[in-house]
Parts: sequence; C-alpha cells; structure tokens
Amino acid sequence: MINFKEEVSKYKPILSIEDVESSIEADEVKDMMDLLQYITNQVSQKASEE
Amino acid sequence: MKCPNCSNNIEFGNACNICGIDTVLFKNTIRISDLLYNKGLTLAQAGDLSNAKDSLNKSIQFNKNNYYARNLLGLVYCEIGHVADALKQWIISSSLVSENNPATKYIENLQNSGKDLDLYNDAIKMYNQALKYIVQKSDDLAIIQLKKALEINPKLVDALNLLSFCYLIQDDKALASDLVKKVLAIDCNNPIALNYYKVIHQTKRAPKPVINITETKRAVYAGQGANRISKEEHKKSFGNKFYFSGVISFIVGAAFMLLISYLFILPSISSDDAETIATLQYELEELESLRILDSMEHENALRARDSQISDLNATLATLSAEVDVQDRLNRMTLARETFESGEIVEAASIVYAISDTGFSDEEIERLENLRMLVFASAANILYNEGLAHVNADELDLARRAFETVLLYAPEGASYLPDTTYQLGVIAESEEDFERAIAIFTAVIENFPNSNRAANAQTRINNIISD
Repeated sequence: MINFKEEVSKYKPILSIEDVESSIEADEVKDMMDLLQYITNQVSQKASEE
Repeated sequence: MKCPNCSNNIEFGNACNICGIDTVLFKNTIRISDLLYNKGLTLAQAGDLSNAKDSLNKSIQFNKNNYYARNLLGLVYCEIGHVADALKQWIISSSLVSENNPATKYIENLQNSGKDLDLYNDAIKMYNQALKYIVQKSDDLAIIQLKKALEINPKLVDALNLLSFCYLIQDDKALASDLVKKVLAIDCNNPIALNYYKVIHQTKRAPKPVINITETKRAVYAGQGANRISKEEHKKSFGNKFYFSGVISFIVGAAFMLLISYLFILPSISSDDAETIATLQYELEELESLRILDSMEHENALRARDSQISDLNATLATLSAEVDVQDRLNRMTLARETFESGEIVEAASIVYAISDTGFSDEEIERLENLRMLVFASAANILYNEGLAHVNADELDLARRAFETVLLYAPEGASYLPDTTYQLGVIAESEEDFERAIAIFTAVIENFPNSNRAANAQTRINNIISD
C-alpha cells in the first residue's frame, strides 16, 4: 500500500515563470572545479604557513 | 603545457601556479561532465526523461559551464511541462555562450508563443496549488485543480502523477492506471509512475522501457574538452580499470566534498531569515494561485451570467409577444360585447385599433368577421349622424362623422358617393376651395355613375367661376 506522507513528500512545487529570475540569482552553483580549486588553495595555504 | 582553466603556461608538474588548479583533475572533471551529458542524451533519446534529467543535473554539477548539458536539460524539462525550469537553464546557457547557441532560439520560441507560455505557467500554478490541497488532504479540490492543469498542458508529468495518486487515494484504480500509462508514455522510467503501476497491477510486472540505441549510434559530445569522447580516449583518460564504477565512486566522493565545502565556504545564512523568506514565498504563491482561481471563476461566472441574461431576454420577448396577442384577443372580445350591448360606434373604434400581427390564421379570420360585422353598421350610423350634423349646421362634427364613415364603410356601400360629396360641401362652406375641388374631383372619378357626380361637377364650375 502507498504511505500517504511518504508519497506526498516525493512531490515538489514546480518553478513558475515569475520565479525564474530569482531562482537564477539564488542558484549560484558551485561545481566540482570550484571545489577542487578551493581545496587546492587550502592545501597550498597550509603548506606555506608551515 | 597550457592550463586549461586560465591558459597560463605550466612549466613543470600538474598544478597551475596562477589559478592553482590541478590540470589533470580539471580535465578529468570536464570529461566526466561530458560523459554524463552523453548518458543524459542517450537516456533522453530513449524516452527515459527522469534518468536523463538526473544525469544532466550531475553533468552540470561537475561543470556548471557545460551549456550543452543545460540546453538538453531545458528540453527535457520542457517535455515534462516544467517550462520555467527549461527557461532558467536556457537563460544560463545563453549567458555562458551567446553565439551559435541553440538556447537563444529556444528562448525566442518560448517568448514568441507568449499566450501558450502564460497558459503553461498557469498550469504549473494550478499543480502547485493542488499539491497544497493534497497536503491538507483535500483531494477533491486537488483533483479539480489538476484536471484544469492537464487541460492546459496534458504533458505535465507531475500533474499526471499527482492526479493518479489522488485516484489511488479514492481507490479508483482504473482512472489511476490510465494516467500512469500516460506518464510512462512520456517518461518510460518515471519512478513514481512505475511505483503506482506496481500498486495497481499487483500481478503484473512494471513495463520495461525498450531502448533501441546501439553503442555506435550514441551521439556524444564533449563540451569544453575534446570534440568527441571515444572509448579509446576514455581509456586514455581513466585507464582500463577506471570505468563507470570509478566514475560513480568519484561522484560519491565529490558529493561528499561538496557537502563539506558548502558548510565551510558558503556564508551562513540566518535560518530565521530563510524561514521568513520561505514563508513569505509560500504565502505569495498561495495568493497568486487564489488570484488565478478567482479570476477564472469570475470569468466563468460572468459568461454564465451573460448567457443567462440572453436566455431571459429571449424568454421575455416571447412572453411579451404572447401577452400582446392575448391583450388584442381580449379587446376583440370586449369589442363584440360592446357591439352586442348596442354601442356600435364605440365597438368599431375598438376593433379599428386591433392589429392582426402575430395572430394565428383562425384568429385573423375571427378579427375579419368582427370587422365586417361592426364596421358596416357603424359606418351606416355615422353617415346618418353626419347628415344630421349638416342639417344642424354643425359642420365640424359632420366632417368628423363623414371621415370616419370613409374608414369603416365596406367597398361599394351606397352612401359612399354622398359621404364624399358632403365632405366637399363642408370644405366649400369653410372656404377651403382647393380641398373642396379635390374632393369633388374624387367624387367624379370614383363614382362617375352616381347622382353626386353631376352635382360635384356643377360645384367645381361654380367655385372656378367665382
């Protein structure tokens, strides 16, 4: 049988046209390359401190 | 070696001393993004839109500048009715690459179909409202909203699924099954629809999608790295042992790093503010949905009222015509009663004012018979009254009586020549000679064989000689 709460949680509101602009502004995606760059910078910063 | 990120020349090692990236990791990240795009493309071509969407989203997580992945993701979103999500992806894509980017055309197409875009957006809002109704366990209201949304956009997969869920709640498996089949026809591996399919057809296995795309036919694309990714290049990049399991391990690791980094990198947003924004956004959405619903209901009510007014006007016109006919029939009865009571001239004036418009053939015949009966008697009486007034030198009354005789008298009545002649005499007495001559001429022309014709000629001669 279907569990009502569990099933409802699978549904999410769909983005509407009015919210596209704010969604683009809010959605500043950090991709894998940003992360790699960040980690590399952290590691090199620690190394230079030591 | 040139840094693939900032184009700086790297003299030794893999790390760029300007931007600090590891070039090997950088290239491999781009390749993974491209591989995920290729997988997304294959899945999209096979009609497996849910998995294509996941794959393309992952592709963007590896390389946010992969505009091809964004373009395809937009198309996938469009196919399942998420026009705003599609627009978002295409806008970002066209901001990354403005020249020769199909996203520009996609956006133009959407914007040119302005009315359709508005309607699709309305369908989305109806779905969002329905979702709120479902959470409140008002599945009847949700069904109304979802049906309206699907009338506008029958490909809105989430609405189809949610409506199917509503029918399952109401234990209407037949309707739910139809909707599930519609979803699977659009998105063959939609997990929600597959789950419902299993629930509905407990004895049957969920239909397996047929993917007829061979390895050689797979369209492959590499966004910013190599032009195309071949199996050889794949081996070169990752080695023989680094295959898909390696990619998955990398994704899991990367996701973990992403999570940790987000915790450290992103400035902590006040949870209170976020909550307030979310609440306000929710309220705004709710108000917007209510506004759309209200305006639709208002429009429908106005249309219904207009149609009601037209119907009422038509009924009113019919009833007025019926009342008018009935009124004239009543006056016919009154005229007959007046005639029978001896008031013949009064009865004639009532009959004279009755029109036969809208009468049935039988009613017209009745009216004609009444006219013949009443008018002949009335004309005779009025003729005699006219003569009496002439003798009493009451010319005005005499003229009125004779004029009325002309209205009522039947064709060929014996007193018609004299009545006309008397009117001429009265006009002559009133020194209206022009009128008198015209009347006497009419006597001569209309009644040439009557006694009054010779008298009329004499009177004309006298007037002319005077």
